[in-house]
Parts: sequence; C-alpha cells; structure tokens
Amino acid sequence: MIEVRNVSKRYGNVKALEGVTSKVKNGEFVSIVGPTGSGKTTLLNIIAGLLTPTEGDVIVDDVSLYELSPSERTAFRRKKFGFIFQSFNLISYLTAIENVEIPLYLAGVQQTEQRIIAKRLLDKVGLRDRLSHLPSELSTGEQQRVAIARALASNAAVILADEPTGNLDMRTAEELMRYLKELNMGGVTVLLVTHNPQIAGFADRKIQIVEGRLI
Amino acid sequence: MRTLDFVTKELGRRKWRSTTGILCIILGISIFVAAQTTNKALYDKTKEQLLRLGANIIVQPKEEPFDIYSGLSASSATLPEMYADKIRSIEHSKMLVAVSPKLYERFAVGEVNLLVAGITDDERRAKPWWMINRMVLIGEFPQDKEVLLGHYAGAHLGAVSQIELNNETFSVTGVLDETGSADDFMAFVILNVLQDLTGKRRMVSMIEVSTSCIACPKMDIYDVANEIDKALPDDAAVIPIKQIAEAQIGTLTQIEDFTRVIYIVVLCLGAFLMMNYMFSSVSERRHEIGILLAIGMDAGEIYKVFILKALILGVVGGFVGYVAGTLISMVASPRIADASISPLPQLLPYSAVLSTVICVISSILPARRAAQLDPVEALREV
Repeated sequence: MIEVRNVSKRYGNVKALEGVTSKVKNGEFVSIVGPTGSGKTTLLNIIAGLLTPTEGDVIVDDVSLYELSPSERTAFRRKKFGFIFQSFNLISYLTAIENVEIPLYLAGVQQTEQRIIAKRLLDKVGLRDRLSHLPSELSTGEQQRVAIARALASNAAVILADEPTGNLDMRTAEELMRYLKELNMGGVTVLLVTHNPQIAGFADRKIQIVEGRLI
Repeated sequence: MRTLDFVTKELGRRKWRSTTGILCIILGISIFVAAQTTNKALYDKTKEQLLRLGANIIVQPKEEPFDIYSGLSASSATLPEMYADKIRSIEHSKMLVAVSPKLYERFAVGEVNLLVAGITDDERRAKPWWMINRMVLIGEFPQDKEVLLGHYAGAHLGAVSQIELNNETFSVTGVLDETGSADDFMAFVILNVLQDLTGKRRMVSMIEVSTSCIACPKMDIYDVANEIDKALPDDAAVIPIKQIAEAQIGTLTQIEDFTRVIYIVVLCLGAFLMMNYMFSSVSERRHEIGILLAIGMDAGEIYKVFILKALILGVVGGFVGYVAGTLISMVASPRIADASISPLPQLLPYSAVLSTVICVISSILPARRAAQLDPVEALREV
C-alpha cells in the first residue's frame, strides 16, 4: 500500500503540490492525469522518494519514506520500485543487456546470475536478438522495452512510469500499455503519469491533478 | 555488471572523449619525464664539463705550500709519493677520476728558467684536453728521457728537438696547444725521472685530485676532501679549490632547482587539466548520474565510479606519458641542449604513481559533486 498524506511541495512562492492525500493499494493500476505543469511528475517523484516534500509524508508498506536517511531511502527505492521514463533514460554507453543488469548489480546479484536474468527479461520483452546493441542502435519502441526490462529486473513490487508513451507512436504505445497491464495482472502495482486520456484508460483508476491539487 | 564496467565501458565507447581526458594527464607526465630525462643528461654533461676545469682538490705539504695559482715558483718542501696510494684507497674512491702526484723543479735551459713538472700517467686522465695541433696526445706523452713542452715554454725555447736538464739530454716529444693555465709555462717529464734527476726519490711537491660527484650524488667535493684529510698524516694539507667546488655545487644546485620548478609547474598543470576534465565529465553525465541515482545507485557508488575512472586514467596516463616524455626528450634534447639522452626506466614507476595521485586528488571534488547531484534536477536535463 502506498499512502500519500497531505503532501505539499513548494519552490519558493510557487506551489507545485498542495495538500495531496491519496492511497494506492497493492496490485492496483492507477494513472495520474492532468495537464502539463499540474504537478503529476512532482507527485510521482515524491512517491519514489526522489524529492522531499515541503510538508506531509509518503508511507509505503508501513515505512515512512521521508523518515529514512537518504541512503536508506535509496536502498528502499532500489528494492521496491522500478522506473520507466518518458525519454527511456538508458545509459548510452551500455548495451541493452548491460542496462538491464544495472538494478541486478545494485541489488548485489552475482555477474553470471545477472546475465541469465537480464537475458530472460529481454527475451520476455521480445529483444532476444538485440542484447548487444547500444541504445542508439535500437528503435524508440525497443529502447522503451529495454527500459521495461530494466524496471522489472529488480523484481520491483511497484512500477512508476512517467509518461512512458510520450515518445512512442500510437501502435507501440498501446503495445507497451498492454504489456504494463499484463504485469499488473501478475500482481505488480503500476503508477502511471500521463496527460493522454487514451493511455490513462488502461488503468483501473485515475487520479486527476490540476494546479497541484487532486480533484 | 561491476563498478569497474561503468568506467571501462564508458572509456571504451566514448573513445574521443576518453582520449581528451587521458591526453591531459599524458601531457603533464610527458613534460615531467622529458624535463627529468633532459635535466639528468644536462646534469651529467655539466659535471663532465666541470671536471674539465681541472683538479678540484690539491694535497700539499702543510709546512711550505706550493703556489698553485702562479705555478711559477718551486718549493723545497715535499710529500711522500705513497700518499697518492693512500688517497686512492679512501672509502669513496670511485669518486676519484684522477690522482696525479707531481714534483716541480726549476732548471736553467740556456737563457730560460724552466719550471719542470714530473708527472705520471694519471695526468693524461686528469687533463683530457691536452692537445697538440688540436689532436689528443698519443705518442707525445713523455716517456723515460723525453720532455713535453707547455705552449709558452716551447715558444721561449724556440724550435728545439732536445733540451738538457742537469746535464742529461731529453728529446722534445711536442709542444702543447695553449691551455690558458700554468701548464703553458712548464715542461713535463716522467715523475720518477725527475725524482732521480733531483735526488728527491719517492717524493712529490703536490698531488692533484680530480673528483666527480656522478658516482656518489649525495656527496660533494668537500666531503671527499675531508675523507682524504683523514686518510693522510698531519704533514699534508688538503685544499678543495673553492672556486671550482663552488661553481660545481652551484651549477648543479641550479639545475636541481630548475628541475624542481618544472616538477611543481607540471604537477599543478596536470592536476588543473585533470580536474577540469573531470568536472566537465560530471557535467556531461549529469543526466546519466540522475538515472543511476533514481534506480537505486547510492552516492558512495557514484563517487567510487569517478575515483576509479581517475585511477585508471592515472595509471594509463603515467605509462603512456613516460613513453611520450622519453621520446620527446630523445628527439628534442640533442637539438636544444646538445646532450645525448638515455631513457631512465627508474622514472616509470614514479610517473605511474605521480600520475595516479594527481588524477585521484584532482578528481575528489568533481566526484563529490557527482555524488551530491539531485537526481530529480539531473533527470530533467536531456
């Protein structure tokens, strides 16, 4: 369970979020929707433990995220969350398989084991033949699938996806969403930030933000 | 994946950028090695040239010293010739280039009052610049009843093929080219011949000692003079020739100081270039650092990646810089300093360690900056 308790975030006089309170149950597929600049990504970053709120707290499985030290929070994030970003955010000088191995390396998995798991995950997202390709040698759809494999590598219970379809054509975007839905059916909680209502339609529930407030 | 892979793969797959980075340190280290190698050659050459200034220690009778500056008046006081052997057997004898015992005596040769020096074969080693018609001496060095004339002594005597000393005839083997020293006014015969001629058997007027600090870089000629003084009885005065000694020590000190300045400049230059490169590397990789922090790499690990990169650049830069610096000095030094260069393999470990230390120290601040990046800020930059 992810519980957002009265979270506010201000940058000087600018209010990015104001008194946001919400709950996401384990295994839910929730989309956070709203216009550009409404505070969706800020909320996702706060839930991920990447951005300290000005007020309020985030509780994930009974752990108060912002009562942890920064290094404890990093370790918690590593175990609990998988990330998918709009611009894929693959490491440009690492091959597809090496990118997928990163969370496994961070989790302390042995090198040979890392390779086996990463191969299996890339196979699962249909990239068996692209293991040794650099991100620049992959199509945008393929890059996003590598990002998904990387998000799954740590066996994360929660996938946090920030506009994951923003750089994809509609067909590839729908393919990705079906894949996320499939993951969710397998018990993974998915929190999806999007401004696209069609993409948001894949979720079980929508949280709408306008000017930093839930409506 | 391993921590090391983040470094090696980045270096390997961003070859142009990595080359720029490694060039910073190669430049610094190659200048360091080139300066060291060239200075060593200059140092050796200067020592050799200083040696050519002549004897730098004189051993004389304490009671009535010989006038070493004019060299034109003889003294009756003498020392046993065996003192030369005592000098040759001092602890740091490898610093002795030549130990040349000499006996001086004046003779009337026609109208000329000629100062004759009895010398041994050591004189040839001590005075490699003695020449006749710009050629080094071969057969002209005097033997038995032969005499070699100094430049002006020869001019005063005229073109003679033989002279008489104490009613004994000596054939003239040659007239030396001008040396600019007291040697120009003397004649030279073999020491034991002069000893027999004057009745001063096994006695000498002075012993000239030429030293070189090359064999024992930590000693100077004052140390050698002290050692000789301890080896000889009290009747011998051991005099290091101050001007030559000070010129020798002064010049070598200047070379060392110059080298030290080069080291400091190179150290600062290398560190500055490396720090600059690492800061720009952190700046370029902000987005990547943001991704890694977001997916769970902790700040310590990010710090480690940058320090490891500095370590690898340092070791590789040290080795390549050594080779480049040696090549630079071998090509440039003979033209600039007229000195022949030999590679100094002992500089290799120094270069590697120096380069690594510079790289690591100058990467501490950039690495810390990388580790302290705000992942959300960094992720915003695409």
